[in-house]
Formats: sequence, structure tokens, C-alpha cells
Amino acid sequence: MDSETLAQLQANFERQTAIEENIRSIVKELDASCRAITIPLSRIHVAKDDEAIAQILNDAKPLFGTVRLNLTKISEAFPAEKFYSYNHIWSRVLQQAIFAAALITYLESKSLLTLEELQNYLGFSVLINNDAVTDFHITIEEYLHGLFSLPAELARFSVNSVTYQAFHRPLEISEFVAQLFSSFQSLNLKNDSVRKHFDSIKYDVKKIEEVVYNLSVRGLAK
Amino acid sequence: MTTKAVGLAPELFTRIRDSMDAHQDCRERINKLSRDITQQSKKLIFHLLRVSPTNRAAIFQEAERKHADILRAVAQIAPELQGSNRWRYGSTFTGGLQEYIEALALWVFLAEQRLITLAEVESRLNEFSKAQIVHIPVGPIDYVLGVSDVAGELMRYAINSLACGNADEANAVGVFFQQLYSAFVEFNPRLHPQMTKKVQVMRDSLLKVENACYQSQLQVSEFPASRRPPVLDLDQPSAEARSDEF
Repeated sequence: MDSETLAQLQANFERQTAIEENIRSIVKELDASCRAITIPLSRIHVAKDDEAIAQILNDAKPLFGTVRLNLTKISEAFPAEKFYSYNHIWSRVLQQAIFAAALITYLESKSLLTLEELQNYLGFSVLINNDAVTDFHITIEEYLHGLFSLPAELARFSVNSVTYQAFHRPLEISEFVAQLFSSFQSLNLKNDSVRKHFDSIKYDVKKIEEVVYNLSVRGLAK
Repeated sequence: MTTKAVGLAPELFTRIRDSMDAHQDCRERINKLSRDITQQSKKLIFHLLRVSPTNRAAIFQEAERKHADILRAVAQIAPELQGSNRWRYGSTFTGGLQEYIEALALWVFLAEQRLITLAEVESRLNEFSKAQIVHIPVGPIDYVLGVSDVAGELMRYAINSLACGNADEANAVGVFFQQLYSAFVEFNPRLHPQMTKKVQVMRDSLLKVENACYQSQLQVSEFPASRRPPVLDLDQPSAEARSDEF
């Protein structure tokens, strides 16, 4: 290998490393902005009533502005064609943001976070086709991971709702999660991280059903 | 359960399912063709290793034909690897691509005693598309990993050459190989998870070649041409007959 070829390759690798490092530094900020949302959201477990929860959601929602800003910065850090070369760097953190958006949506309206709603939260859309990427986007896998995190949080929420005597909540949660689980089952998941995450949900479904059972046998489920 | 469990947003999940299925199918197709390319490239490599001073023209001519076979498989994959999907399915495609680069690198070395460049690899890979409607870029990391694999073939070729009494050819391989290895130790091992292993394998092969050249030099010194027993003067018999041993 002559020195010119070697130098060209090295320069190429250095460029790529520089892009990666730049993305990583933005992802750190993205991570901080996502945690700024999930940390206050975790207070729903100690919220005394619906009013307190509404207050938490009102506090959390504006914080997505910083998330959008950081995502925009990432989207500008590389040519869109190389999206999949770098996607793994922010994917995990982004899943946290999607989870937070899904949790807020459920608590607000007892409904599933739609693609349109997610786009409003994050400023970018989910790509549901396999065409070549021309713009920054959210992947299907990221959306699913975000949704798959919901049952665990709602299981904990149903337990704590009983403590605060909000006996209606576990029933609502149970119905919602059962329907969600049934939707997930319609997917043909392969042996990958999405599948693994999905496989963990059944324990949360079981946990929620136990809570509902315990309320029912005591005549508390109305 | 207290629910009908009908599922939320059935249209959305149907769309998601169809898209994920299509993605998996696509990956499967690429995987299969990548394996085909690997197999055909291996055949091309074995074919090239049968080269000897007397059959060069015929070997390289036949190599062109085998290369055209590989490109037919590449042409089938190409539509799936457009734009960003080239990198989306990069890890699926890289196996076949690396084997192909290895074959090309061996070929160019045997024909011209030099290293193939990244640009040449990309141009040969895309020969299937005369109109350049579809173009498959080759990543520098694919090139580096593919070229590193040529080490094992260079080792086989050098040992073969020695076995056939062609010490000059073996020495030429040794010099080329040493230059190649010095370039590789300069690369950051963190470029790719496979990098460290590939460089280690390369080093093992290089040591074999260096040792073989050393042994051969010792033997030559023991028997200068004037005193060399006729039995050592093999005068390069057919390499073809011996190449299968390695």
C-alpha cells in the first residue's frame, strides 16, 4: 500500500470518526434533555390525585422543545444517506423520548401515541416503508421500543394507584395494555432486540392482571 | 381478562408489520446473494492460485469469466442497495463484498505485483451497470477488511512458489506483504470490531512467509548454484499439480 493511498484512507477514517464524535457529543445533550422529561414523569407514582398528575404532564411537555432541538442538531451532523451508519449512536436515547411521549399520551387521553402525535413531540416522522432515506427520521424499531417500555411503567403505576386509592386506574390500564399487547402480537418479530423487549412485556401484563384481581376479590374494582 | 383484546390501531400495526416483513425479506435476499458472491469469489481465488509462469494468460482470461459470474449476482442485489439502504444492509452485504475484494486484490497482485486501489474495486464492482443507473459504493472499511483477507492467499501463493523452486517469486510476495502489513498496523484497531483479529491473522501469515523465505535463503547459501545437486534444480514444474496441497 503506497503512502498516498494509506493517507487517503486514514483521512477518510478520521473524517468518519470526527462525525461520530460530534454525534456522540450531541447525543449526550439529547440524553440529558430526555432524562429531564423522564425524571419528573416518574413522579406520577407519588402523585396524590389526577390534578397532581395533570400538573406533572404540563411541566413535562414543554421540555420536548430541547429534545427537538438536539434531534435537529443530530440530523445536520451527517448526510442523510449515511443515516444507518450512525443510527445506533442515538437510537437508545431516542427510545426514551418516545417512551416519555407515549406515557404522557396515555395519561392524558388513555390512548396510544399515534405517529402524528409523535411527530409533534419530536419534530421528525417515523418512516414506515423501506425506501432509501432522504431525510432524518425515526425508525419503526425505535417507535416500537418506546411503546414496549410502556407496560412496565403502567404496571408500577397501577400498583401505586391502589396505594393512593385510585381504584379505577388499574382496570383502565389493564384494558389498554391488553389491547396494546394484542396489537404487538400481530407483528412478526424476528430474533433481535425488538423481539427480546417484546418478550419481557408479558410479565408486566401479568402484574397488572394481578392488581386487577386483588381489587376484584375485595370488591374494590368498580 | 376483562377485555375483548381487539388490539389498538389495527391499521397502523398492519402497516408496521408489512414494512418489517418487507425489510426482513430484503435482508434475507441480500444475505443469500452475499453468500453466493462469497462462494463464487472463493472459486475465483482458488482458480487464481493455480497460476504459474506458463499459464498466466489462460488463467487471467478464465478469471474474467468467473468475475462476470460474480457480477451477475451483484446485479441482482444492486436494486436493494440504493442510497441509504447500502448502509442499512451494510453488515449483511459486507461478507460477500469482502471476499470479492480479496479475490480482486489477489488477482491484481498476481497480474501486476501491486495493491488494488479502493477506486478500482468500486469501478470493477460496478461493471455490471454499464449505464450507471445503479451504483454500489464501496466503503473504505470494506476495502481495508477485504484486502486484509488477501494475506492468507499471499501466504499460500508464496509457499507454493517456494515448493516449485521459484524463490524469487516468493521473495517478491514477501516484500509486497511486508509493505502491506506496515500499512495495516497504522490503522486504528477500533475502526471495526474485526480489525484486531484481521491484523493478527495477517501477521501470522506474514511470519510464515518470512520464515519460508529465510529457510529458502539458508538452503541457497548452503548450495551455491555451482555446487547445487541436480535434485534441487527443479526449474519450476507445473504449479498446478502442487497448488491443491494448500
